[in-house]
Amino acid sequence: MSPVRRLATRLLSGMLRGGSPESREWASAMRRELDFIENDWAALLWAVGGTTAILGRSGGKKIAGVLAGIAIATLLTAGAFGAFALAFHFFPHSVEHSMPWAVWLAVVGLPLAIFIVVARILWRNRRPMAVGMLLSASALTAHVVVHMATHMAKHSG
Amino acid sequence: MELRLSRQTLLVLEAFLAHPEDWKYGYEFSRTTGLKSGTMYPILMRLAERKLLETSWDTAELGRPARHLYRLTPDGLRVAREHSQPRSMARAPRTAFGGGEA
Repeated sequence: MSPVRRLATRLLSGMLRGGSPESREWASAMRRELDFIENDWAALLWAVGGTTAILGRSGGKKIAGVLAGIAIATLLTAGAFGAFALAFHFFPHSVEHSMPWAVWLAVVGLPLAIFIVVARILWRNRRPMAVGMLLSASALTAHVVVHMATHMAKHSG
Repeated sequence: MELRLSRQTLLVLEAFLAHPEDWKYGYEFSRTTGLKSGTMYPILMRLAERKLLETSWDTAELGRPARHLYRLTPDGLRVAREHSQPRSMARAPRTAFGGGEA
């Protein structure tokens, strides 16, 4: 058996062992069809598709949605930080002294507002992704609160 | 729960309607419909959940594993026919005067 076919077999055998009880019959059906697919790469594609189908049935789709929401939020925050870093690089004086509010707006306010608006839009049709974005918004807010509290304690002490 | 009749679901129903009495194997059915396993199996699972599809295991030939088989139940056939008619009518060529084919 080629390594590609072995991987395909392992994927579906894993689903057979780890899938929900009601999805085991389907995992077994997909696993057995593998023996009738002659091309190894076609067998692997079959197994990958089957694994996605089983995971989707077992709640994996929800987890993937939440992770996608977190990933989008992380990219947005990284983009905001990147924009701030660029602005600071090119206009250090303006950013530091003239527009301190702009820093907070770019790094915290804007991403938070975007997370909340996008989560509101996604809530009806893509709830797991919306939950991922809201989780990120909560994490960012908590981070800012802790940062400010630490900063204030340092200055008062 | 209402069955979501996506384009792919309709394709699956139509493929079953072509030979309604025959049991279909997963891989061959995937090739007939042109659907990948990741698209086809969730549809088959939903149809089976709603009792529109019946499944069975064939008796294993010597040295060959048993295979899962599928065909529409009477309810599934009814749903498939209900949804295939308007589509075929919509696809019927129109005459120069706007009428459908007889």
